[in-house]
Amino acid sequence: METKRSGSETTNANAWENPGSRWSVADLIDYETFLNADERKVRESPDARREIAKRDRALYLEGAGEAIPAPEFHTPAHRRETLHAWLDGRRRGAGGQERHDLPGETFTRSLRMAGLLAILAGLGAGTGITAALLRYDGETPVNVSWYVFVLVLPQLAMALAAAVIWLLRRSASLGRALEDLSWGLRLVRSLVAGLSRRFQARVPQNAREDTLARGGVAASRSTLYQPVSTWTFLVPLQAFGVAFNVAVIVTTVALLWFSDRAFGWQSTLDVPDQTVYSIVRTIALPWRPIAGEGRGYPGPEQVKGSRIYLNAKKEAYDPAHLRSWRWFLVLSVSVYGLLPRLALLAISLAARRRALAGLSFRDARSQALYRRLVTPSLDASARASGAGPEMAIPRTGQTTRPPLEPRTAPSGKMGADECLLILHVDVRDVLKDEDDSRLLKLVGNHTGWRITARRAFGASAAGNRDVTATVATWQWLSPPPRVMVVDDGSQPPITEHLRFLKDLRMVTGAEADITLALVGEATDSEPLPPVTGRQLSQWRQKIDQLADPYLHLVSLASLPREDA
Amino acid sequence: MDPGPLQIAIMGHPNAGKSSVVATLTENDSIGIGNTPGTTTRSDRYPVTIDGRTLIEFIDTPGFQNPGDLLEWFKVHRDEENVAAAFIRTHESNELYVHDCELLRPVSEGAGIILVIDGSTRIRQKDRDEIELLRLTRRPRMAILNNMTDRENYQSQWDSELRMSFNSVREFNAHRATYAERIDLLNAMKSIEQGWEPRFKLAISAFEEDWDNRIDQTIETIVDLFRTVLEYKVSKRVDPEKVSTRTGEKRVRTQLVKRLEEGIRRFEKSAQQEIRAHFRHNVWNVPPGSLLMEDLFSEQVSHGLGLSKAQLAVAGMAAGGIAGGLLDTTTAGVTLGAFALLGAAGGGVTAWIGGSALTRMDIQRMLGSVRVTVGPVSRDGFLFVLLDRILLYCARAMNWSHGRQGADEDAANRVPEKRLEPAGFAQDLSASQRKSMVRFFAAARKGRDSPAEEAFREILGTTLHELSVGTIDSREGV
Repeated sequence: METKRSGSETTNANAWENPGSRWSVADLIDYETFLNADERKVRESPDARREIAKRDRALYLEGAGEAIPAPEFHTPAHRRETLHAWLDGRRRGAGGQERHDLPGETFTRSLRMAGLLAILAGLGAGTGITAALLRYDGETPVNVSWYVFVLVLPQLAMALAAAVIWLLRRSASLGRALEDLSWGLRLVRSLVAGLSRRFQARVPQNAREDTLARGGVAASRSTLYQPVSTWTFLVPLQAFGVAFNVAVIVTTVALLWFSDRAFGWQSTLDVPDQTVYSIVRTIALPWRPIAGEGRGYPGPEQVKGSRIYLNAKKEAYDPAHLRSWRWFLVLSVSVYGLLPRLALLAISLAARRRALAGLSFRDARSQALYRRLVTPSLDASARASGAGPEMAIPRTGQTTRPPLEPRTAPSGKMGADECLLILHVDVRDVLKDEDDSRLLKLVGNHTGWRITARRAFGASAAGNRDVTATVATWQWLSPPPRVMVVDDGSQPPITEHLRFLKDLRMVTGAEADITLALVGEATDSEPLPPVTGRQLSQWRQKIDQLADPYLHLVSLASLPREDA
Repeated sequence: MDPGPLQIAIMGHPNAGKSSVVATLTENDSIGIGNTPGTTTRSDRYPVTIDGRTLIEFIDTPGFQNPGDLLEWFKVHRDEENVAAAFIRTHESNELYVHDCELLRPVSEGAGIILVIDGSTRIRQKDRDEIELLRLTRRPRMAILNNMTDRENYQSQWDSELRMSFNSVREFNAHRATYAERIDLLNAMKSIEQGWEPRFKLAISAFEEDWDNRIDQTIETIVDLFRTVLEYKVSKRVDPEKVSTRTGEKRVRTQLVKRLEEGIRRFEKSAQQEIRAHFRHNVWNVPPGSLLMEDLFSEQVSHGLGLSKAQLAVAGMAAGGIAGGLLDTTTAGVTLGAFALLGAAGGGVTAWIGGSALTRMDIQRMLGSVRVTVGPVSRDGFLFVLLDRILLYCARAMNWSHGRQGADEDAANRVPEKRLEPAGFAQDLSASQRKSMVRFFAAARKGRDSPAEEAFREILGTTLHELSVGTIDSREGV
């Protein structure tokens, strides 16, 4: 198994065909809820950070980690998909009640309900207003001007305004105009803020800071998601508009179908019929190719014939002229009311989808989460498994070497004040000829002995054996035997050295006088420096464990005053 | 099939610094390190686990106790296929060789070898023995010259001695190694044996990503610290009588400023603890006399860190100029930038002469009582001091080696701390970077989001990365 990490090589192209499309508004709300919960946890206990990182990495490896090709890392698409996979994982991991309480689903339901209410309100308003405008008492024809002014022109104006704002959305002059408009809003906002401050002054400091923090987070998040939220709330508004226009059209057609209504127009001013005809013809421009004069809109004669005069008898009007407006009304609302609303609804839906797909998640909190997800969880914090046995201290008679070969030829005789000097090779190798007298003096200072013979140990195991074998052959004229061992005290004592001392004891006898003199770290100018107090103490600890009363430990050169 | 973790046995003489090397490489200061020899008495395994899978196992072994004997035995049995395993079989019941068997066990199981050598001393016989016997194991091996002192006269001798028997030789001070040096060493390890490379690559990449992650977390911590400090206010409801005279007002102010300072100290401490946790430090040592040990509001700290008056004035001018520029915009440019000019002059002068007070005091009179509020911090100079202090702390946390707990800080020949004049990092920032910071401070004070925050994050990110790789000095000892 290869570790699933940022360099994962498994690919799943399908997951990347339509990046970002998976996010919904409900997802964003749940995502923020989970982020807030994590942040709260970390605030309460900073140690929770590690647990959260571990959990998030595990979620990543379960989900997105499988599907993501390595080169896609740190791209917006990868970030969106990864964070969505994390959200799915968090939802799956949420318990029954917690899952039920997630606000995303509630928001979706509320939005759906708001949409439904908007549709019902639109249908109700459209039906009511149309029925009122088309009210016909059988005497005076219905004035089509009101129908057009109330149901068509405002909608046309709104659609045009929306189009103009959209086209000029980046222009500075429009920005300034909108800013001017927002002055009023700012005034209200500062009033609310002032009241809020007065209220906050009365609540405890903790609660106040918490409220401010939440407010701050909410404000910063709303900036991030503003495009999404704008289009989300525009959708029910457009649904209202569509429902309203559908209701207007259906009511108008129903009234036309089930009742015979007369339509006309009137004016106190001396407006020529031709002018009205021209206006009507212009309004009918979009549908003229499919529903022409006399059918889709009244012709000059019909316009003239449907002008209502005061005190005119109804017999004076041609019924055909009075009916000629009916489809003009239906088509006006369809083209200038319903169609723009449908277009705006489609635009709102598409824009919302686009805004969701375009979310970059580059804010600090999302980036931190993303990093937690894609960064391999590294653990090198294992603790030691426990203490083992201390270094071995050789006991009397304990040897691992072949038995010492008895030497028949004696090495020589030792006088009463004479001793054998055994130097460690590391000490011997740094000594020059001119250092010899100093060495003899130092040895003499400690023991009063004269050096009769010298050997070296430490070059090899066999060499050590040879030294001990040689020592055994010396004849001591004035026992006990006297041996001075000079060792490198700058290095810690090890079993091998202790064992050499033990072997020496074996061949020289239980009461032989053995002095272990330590030298410190040699330098070019000082081959026989004293050991430090710490080094001497480390050696003493081990030497004491040998339990040899005739083995003395000294520093060859005098210790510095502070160490002594 | 997963071949299991790659095992690397860290071997050497007692007190050579094996545990320090493992602690530094794995950033694990729970590893027992002592400056008395023989602290490690058994082979302890320290796995590097990535997403639950152990890639590498560093094995901290006891020191050699009988190198001469081992070498003699190895020479005699050099034809054994696995000489280490054969030695263990023969000697495991002998207590004299308990540590030698323990340290050879990972090698007998196929572990690679890293020989740690105290490079500050001359080559001794036991070193030659150890080098030779490890050569006879025929395992991939590397030598680390762990020179923990200021002595360097033996480096070249060691180098030539070791090159004959080891695939690679590196110098590495386990007590002072920085992140970059640690990564360099891991990179060197991967080339010892071709088969090691993929795992080391994964591990190094995980270490690097983890490090970047820690830097990002540290940036978050610092930004949070500044946001908290810049929004922090302390208020108190008092009897109107108490602030009716200048002396009374001053007394109340002093009390509240003291509380404000305590709060800021608390925030700084908490941020420091977070940063320390980001960089996984349990054991910590700040040298006496370091500015990190002094009180945040002390004279030493405010003199040693932060910006000079002139630098502050320039940064203040930028902030004032922006505020004035906004006013110019509202007049559609009719004022020809006069507000920007006035703002810049005002900001500069305020920073130059008015920077002594930490904060302003606000007195709200209500029915029957007075609410006195101090905060947030209005002195930009202090904020730069705070920034320098937290960056100094980061530098320490990033470059404090996890193996340093075993260092003898009193040793005469230890690598000396650099003696630097007390100074932080803000001095080295460019004028435009400082301006961005002042803008961020101004926005954060009002609880607003500002593009300057992103700039602030970038500056922090750059500084922390440069501290990691040693492009800028970590000012250790300041």
